[in-house]
Amino acid sequence: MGRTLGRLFGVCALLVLTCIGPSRAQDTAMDIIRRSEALMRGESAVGSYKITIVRPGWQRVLEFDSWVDGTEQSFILIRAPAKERGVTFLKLGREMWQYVPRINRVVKLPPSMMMQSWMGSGFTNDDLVRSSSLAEDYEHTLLGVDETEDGEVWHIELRTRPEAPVAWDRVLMWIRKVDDLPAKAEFFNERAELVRTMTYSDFRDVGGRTLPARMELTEERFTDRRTILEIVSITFDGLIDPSVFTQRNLRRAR
Amino acid sequence: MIRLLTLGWRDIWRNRRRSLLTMGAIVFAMLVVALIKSSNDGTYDAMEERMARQYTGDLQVYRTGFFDDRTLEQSLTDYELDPDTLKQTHKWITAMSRRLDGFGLVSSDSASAGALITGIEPSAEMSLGSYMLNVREGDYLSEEDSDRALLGEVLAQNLSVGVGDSVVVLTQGYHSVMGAEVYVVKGLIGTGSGELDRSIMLLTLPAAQDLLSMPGRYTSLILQTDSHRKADRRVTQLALDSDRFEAKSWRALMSDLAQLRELDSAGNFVIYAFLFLLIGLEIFNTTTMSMLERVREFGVMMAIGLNPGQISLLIVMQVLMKVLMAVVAGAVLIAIVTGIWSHYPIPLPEDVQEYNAELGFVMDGVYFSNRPSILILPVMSVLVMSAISIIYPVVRVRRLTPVAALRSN
Repeated sequence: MGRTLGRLFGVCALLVLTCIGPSRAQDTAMDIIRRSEALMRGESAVGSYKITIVRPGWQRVLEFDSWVDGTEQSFILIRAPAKERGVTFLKLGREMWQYVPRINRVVKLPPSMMMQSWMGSGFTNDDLVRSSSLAEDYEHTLLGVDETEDGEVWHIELRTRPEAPVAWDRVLMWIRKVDDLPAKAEFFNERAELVRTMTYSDFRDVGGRTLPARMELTEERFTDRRTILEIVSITFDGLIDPSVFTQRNLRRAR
Repeated sequence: MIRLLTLGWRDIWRNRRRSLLTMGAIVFAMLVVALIKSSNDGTYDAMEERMARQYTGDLQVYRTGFFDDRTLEQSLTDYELDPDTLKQTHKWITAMSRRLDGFGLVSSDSASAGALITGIEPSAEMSLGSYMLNVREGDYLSEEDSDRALLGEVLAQNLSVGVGDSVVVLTQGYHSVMGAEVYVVKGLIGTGSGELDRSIMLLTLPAAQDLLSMPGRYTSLILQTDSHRKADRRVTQLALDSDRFEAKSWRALMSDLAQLRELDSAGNFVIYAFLFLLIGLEIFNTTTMSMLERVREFGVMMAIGLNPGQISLLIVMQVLMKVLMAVVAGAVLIAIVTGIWSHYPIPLPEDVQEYNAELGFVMDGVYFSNRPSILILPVMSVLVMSAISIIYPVVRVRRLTPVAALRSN
């Protein structure tokens, strides 16, 4: 009798355990994306980056500093090469200005230019201005867990919410289970065609947190072109002087 | 034989009114068809010639690949393809000019717009006779203008700038190096194409090469030839090394124009078919009638020794003479009418012209072609239709026997 009871208790305990056990894994796809986005973005960030544009037969390297506050404000200062040094970009909301020291003019980029390449890279002006959020503007489905050489990753599908002002119809993301950081993302247009792929690598400690320090962008349309964005240094969540995000700063920043 | 011809000739005039009516119908149908074809061909010919002259040139030479993927890295240099040598080798090249086509953002103090930035050689461009010469305000570029630009008139309007104002240009040039420059607007051009007027900005070739960081390079070589009709043949005659260079004729460059022409011509065939069906029925009707009326007469002729073959030959010759006379008269009339009309195109109303420009076509009037080729269709169709329509009467005659024919009413 006692043995039976004991066995019953054991079964119950097992049941309870199995119920509790998966709760950490019970993260919704939304939670994962939210955590991942918070890690990658922070509240604010000040950083130095290097961008390498690889084309058939040639490549070029740009270096720039950037100040980002929330999703609405950002400022970029080009440091190299010499010919483009001192060129600045200011983004406020959905508007964007560019300053060119050589001709001492500030130019507002019109909507028609938003899909143009930013500084010849695979990124568009729109990529810089866009303030959409992977967590808020999409509906998420956990497709499963994939096994990669870097360990297990969540495979998540993001579909645009009907009213969200986003450029992509559907995004497939692979997010590392170990640290919630993205490993890869594929972006699809409204015709369900794969347009671009972002691959994240070189996961290491930068600015006090582990981040993919290297992101590589490839476009389906131009298979022989690549854009590599590398984080040189970055500081998260520091206080940024509001005067950074002003048109006056376009001319002043050095 | 001669006697049969004489008989046939007399037969035609025996019922003068009916014969004249048939011939009149044939002439009329031929004229209508020829005029439709003449105006269609003439208008498209004029449009093609003008658009080839003004926009594309007869031929364009690029680096292989530039046509599909317009990157500045796929550009030409004189070092690799010397235009002067090309001109000496091919005597049919009448004019040529280098162009550098890029893209950039043009802004004034108040507005910005994306623009096609084209570097041109002002005097060479003049020898092509291209649209760029259409300066509506201000002056055309001269060779030494390094900080002056021409703007499409709608672009200038959108930027709210006029002659003498300055505009800022931002571009990504060769190897994506940023280019930025200020230019003074020297003139405004009206190209006749809505799209170009909205987006074109012209610089001198050296100025554009400087802006786009590509000295000595250009994207296309525009060739004008002795005849734009032969452009497709000229492409092969150029015999370029296809790994490095490719040539396109205006026909390939404006494929939508060729398609439009084909579509229009196909639509006209419905009208032609209808008209010729009527003509066929008319010939069939008169021939059959005149045969049936004369069955007794044929019986007499057979009784005095003609065989059915000779009688059908008589009918054939009668129709043939009638049709030939009509065809000759029709052809002469067509030649006269289109010959005169080809000098007097019918101008289109302003709003129709604007609508065409909006679609990217230069069409300011209905032109008439007087090329001999417009005669082929009406003449051939009339001959074929008459051949078909005399089958029945001839077959009927061949079955006649003298006795039955004499007894018939």
